[in-house]
Amino acid sequence: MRTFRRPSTGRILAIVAALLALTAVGSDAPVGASSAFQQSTRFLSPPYYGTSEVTSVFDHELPLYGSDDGNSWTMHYTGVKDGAGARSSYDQHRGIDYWLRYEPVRAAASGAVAQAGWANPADHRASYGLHVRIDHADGFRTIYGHLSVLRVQQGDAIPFLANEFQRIIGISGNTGLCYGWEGTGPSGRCTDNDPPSCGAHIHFQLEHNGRVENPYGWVGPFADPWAQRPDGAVSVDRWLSHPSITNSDVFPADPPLSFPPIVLDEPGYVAVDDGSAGFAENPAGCWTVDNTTGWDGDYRYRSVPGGDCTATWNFPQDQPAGYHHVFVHVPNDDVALSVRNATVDAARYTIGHTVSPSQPQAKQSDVAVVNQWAYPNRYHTSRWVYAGTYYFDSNEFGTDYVRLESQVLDSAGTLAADAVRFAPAVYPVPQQTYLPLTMKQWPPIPTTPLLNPIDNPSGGPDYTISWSTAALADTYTLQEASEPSFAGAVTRYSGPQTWLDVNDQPPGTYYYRVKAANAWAESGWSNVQSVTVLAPVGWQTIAAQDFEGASLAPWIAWDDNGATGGEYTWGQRTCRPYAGSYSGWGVGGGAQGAALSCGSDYPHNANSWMIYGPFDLRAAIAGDIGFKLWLYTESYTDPVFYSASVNGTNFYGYIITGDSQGWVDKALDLSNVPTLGSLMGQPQVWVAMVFSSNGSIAYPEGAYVDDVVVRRCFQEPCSSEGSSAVDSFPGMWQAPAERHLYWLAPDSLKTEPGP
Amino acid sequence: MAVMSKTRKLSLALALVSLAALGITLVRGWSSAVASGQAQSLDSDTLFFVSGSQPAIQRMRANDPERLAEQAASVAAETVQIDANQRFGAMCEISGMHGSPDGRWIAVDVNCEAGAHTLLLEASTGRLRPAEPDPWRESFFLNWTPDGDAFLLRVDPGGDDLTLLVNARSGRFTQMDTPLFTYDAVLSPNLPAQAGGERVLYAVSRGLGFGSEVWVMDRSGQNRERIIHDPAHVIAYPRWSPTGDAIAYIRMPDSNVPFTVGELLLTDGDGRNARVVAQADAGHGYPPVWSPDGQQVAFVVRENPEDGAADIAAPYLESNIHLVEAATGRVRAVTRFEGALVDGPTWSPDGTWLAFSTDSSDSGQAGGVFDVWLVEAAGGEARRVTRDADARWPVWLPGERR
Repeated sequence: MRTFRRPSTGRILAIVAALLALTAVGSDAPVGASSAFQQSTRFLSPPYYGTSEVTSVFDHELPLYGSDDGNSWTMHYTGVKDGAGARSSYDQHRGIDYWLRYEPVRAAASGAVAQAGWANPADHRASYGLHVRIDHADGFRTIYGHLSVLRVQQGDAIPFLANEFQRIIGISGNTGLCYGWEGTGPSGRCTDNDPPSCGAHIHFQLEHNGRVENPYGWVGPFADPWAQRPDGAVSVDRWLSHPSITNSDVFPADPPLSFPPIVLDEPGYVAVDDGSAGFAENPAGCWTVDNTTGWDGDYRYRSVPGGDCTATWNFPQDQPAGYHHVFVHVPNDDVALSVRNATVDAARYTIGHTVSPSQPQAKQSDVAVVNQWAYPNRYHTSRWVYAGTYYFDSNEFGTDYVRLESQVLDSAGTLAADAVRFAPAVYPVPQQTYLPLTMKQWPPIPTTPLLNPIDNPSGGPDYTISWSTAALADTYTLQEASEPSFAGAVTRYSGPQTWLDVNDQPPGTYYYRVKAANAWAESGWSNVQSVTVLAPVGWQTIAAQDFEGASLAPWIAWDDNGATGGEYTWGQRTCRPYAGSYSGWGVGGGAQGAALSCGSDYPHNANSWMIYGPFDLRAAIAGDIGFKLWLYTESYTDPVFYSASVNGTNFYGYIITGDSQGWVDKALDLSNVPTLGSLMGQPQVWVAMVFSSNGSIAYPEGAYVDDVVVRRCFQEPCSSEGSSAVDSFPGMWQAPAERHLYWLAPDSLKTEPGP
Repeated sequence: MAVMSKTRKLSLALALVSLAALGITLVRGWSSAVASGQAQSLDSDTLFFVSGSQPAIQRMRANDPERLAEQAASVAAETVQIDANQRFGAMCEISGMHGSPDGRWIAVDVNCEAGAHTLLLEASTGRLRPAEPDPWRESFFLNWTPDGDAFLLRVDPGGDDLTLLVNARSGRFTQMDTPLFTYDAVLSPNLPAQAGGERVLYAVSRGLGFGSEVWVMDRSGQNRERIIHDPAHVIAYPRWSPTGDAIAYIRMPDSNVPFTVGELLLTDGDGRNARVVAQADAGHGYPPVWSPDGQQVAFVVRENPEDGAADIAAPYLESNIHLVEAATGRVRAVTRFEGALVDGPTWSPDGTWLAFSTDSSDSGQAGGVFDVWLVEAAGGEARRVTRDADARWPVWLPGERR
């Protein structure tokens, strides 16, 4: 189950709604405004802005598919066959193709979006590709094919008297089966020597009660052949205003729609940066300045909600009055989604502007909501975000501006105030457009990583798990389980890596799966891979310590009462080796211990620890720690404590004091530890060796150990040698806290004071 | 960045079909065929493919793939010429072929700039006719029934949007009780009685931004159960294994990016226990293809996911064919072309070979025209069957001996 962390789905929908409700005030009255009364005759307005070119006309001689006349020509609406040149078409064309390269497509009339998506959701090469079908009144339907971006979804309404911004249903493109006439292939076909954008246009189609008709009607001198077809209909000129086309000898054309949509980097834009002359903050200093990034190297920010703070970008007085597209700069660098400077998901920009050129004294305000947190993203790579198009006057009295107001925000996070761009609305319309379409892809769900097969042919305890990089992922979580159902699964890794080295894994079969995550969502779990670690026969050494190496590692040694009375720890010394040149002297290490000469008395109040762990006994059937011991201490009070723990703090084992009469074998059976019992099956086990003395009598030397071996056994034979309990008492010590000694037996020793 | 210097030709352009021309040549047939008037089984395993700048459907005997590969390009083939006219007016292409399980029929996808249609080829005679009950209606071929007698067709997409079960021989049809916006449907194999008998699996999407759902129901429309609800993805080509005990499908992002990387998933026969087994190409319409024994799935893997041009233009795809073992999830590549577009895998009837098409040349360079190749499913060198034939969409039908 995917987890959408923030914002909530409800909030996303609200943002989408807010974005779609953005008002581009300042346009003329809606072009081609339709009504139910008009619908039966003329109700269509151009499906695009500006001027285009008809590249394929409607074929009125469309043969009935698969049967009758077999013609391969086309018939124009004049009745002239085999159109050439300006009347270019192709056989069976049931609509009008307009050459429109990645420009906004507008609904030709009000209605309801019946379909918005791929012609075949599984095969995007098919047919109209990404397209929109709109149901209008009186059984009419329009189709807009081969789009690259959709701005509407199934069920959306194109309101009656919709403003121009609400009319835009998407961006044209070349999706589906789409041939263009500017390609370098035969007859202008696109090849892969052409840009992948080759062939962009819109296929515009009109249907009436399920039958297709030519929106330009039929003007031929004889009956329209198409009207006789099973799926044909009588064609009537349905245009309230004909689309503007350059090849106007093909169809009637009217002047282009004068309201241009949003454009990028058109000539003449001017940017007002935060901190510049045209910028004002109120009250002064209510924003924090960050000079590390942002437009022109800086931006301002503050935490919201809270405060009453505005940032105002004034329309430059030296800029000619006119319609301008407004863009706000969001200072999020192209960095990981989880590291963003602006995180507010509903920044409200108030745009104060002039109503229209004919009413220079009439002012009004509109609000544009921008999800700062969402930009940039993979679909909207620019940091400039469109906030609508407005008419700005000379601004002599500070009436025309863009203002960001912190106190009216209804979301929390970091609000950024950076630059604002005023871009004159001009013709012709460039290819690229800005539209707040990003929410279609929000939140950005990471793809599911693919777990690679685990290579461990020998069944050994060490192997590597790796997985593929997932798009949009920041981190990964790897789970391990002993059951394929992942019951009782544990997280083995969480982080940015795409691999994990597993070492010292006990025998068994392990199942793994991984998922990806970013700041907003998680992917699903990946495929499952398993690996089997075979059980070796007999004893396996986990760790050995013969004190011949350069250090005690991986054992850890320390003086548990620190420097009090001097620092004495276990140390590698040549004083009394059992084998080789060194053995471990209980007080021969540390700042003072290293200075002790061989044969010296051990100090009072020593508390010298040596620990190894954790190690894994989950699949083990036996385990022990064995060692050689040389002991000469005050009986009952200055012990060596050898022990084990399952939490790294509470150690249980045996205490031995007195004179060992030379080197002796000692061992702790990990299947029979005092109090803890058997440690077989424990995932984490520690072992410790402690030398301790009290503040009274001290003997020469004290304690040495050598040839310490920690073992486990997964498969017989694993008989154990040696005995733990001889000359020893069970006990429990705590480490690494201040020294605490709780004698379990004999009772007389429980009165032994701590330090 | 797009590899603009690549000289791969746009085979789509070369495979243009005039539907008008189709209209008068549909009954031409194989030159050797006996017009019995009824669909018959072939007398041997036969490989079919589309070829030529004036598209034709060719067939060649393929009982002995080893020999077929050794005699590359010299094996005699029979042709049904699709009489494409010389004009470049008709904006249609053949975009796929689907053999019926009984080896008697091939459904042919005809993809047009403004709509899509389906043709039906009688394998033994070469007769070709529209598959739609109403030939002026658009349609997308969906799937054959397990016995090969009928097929599911999505008719009038975006309009009435019907799912029809059409008898291949008679053309009679029944309407399936699937909801609006159903874009795929498939009938189950003959499942064991305890699994509930014949079931229909169908996939639904309201459009971009709504994700998709997959449902199963009885053929009567009763006992509906939603088995997948994925608001962020489109479930493409859910396909039961021949034994009915597993389902394979491609999960692809619900996105306006035409061509992306998706995932191949396997589930149990009831749609549960879904697990991702591999990354797979998404958006080009390449379904997972089960081996005849239901042990393996062949699928197309995109090799250039970083190439943004390939996200929006189909010919820029670089791909290979991989296999996954259903039982273990182990994946391996069976073709290893570099920089080539490889697609259309189809299994030999005995499941030991795969036929496919690629634009790779003999030297392994992309940029040639498409040809049909073979490769042993167990592994080995790919072998050419056609040479410079602009051949795609192979279908390998079983003969009577099977």
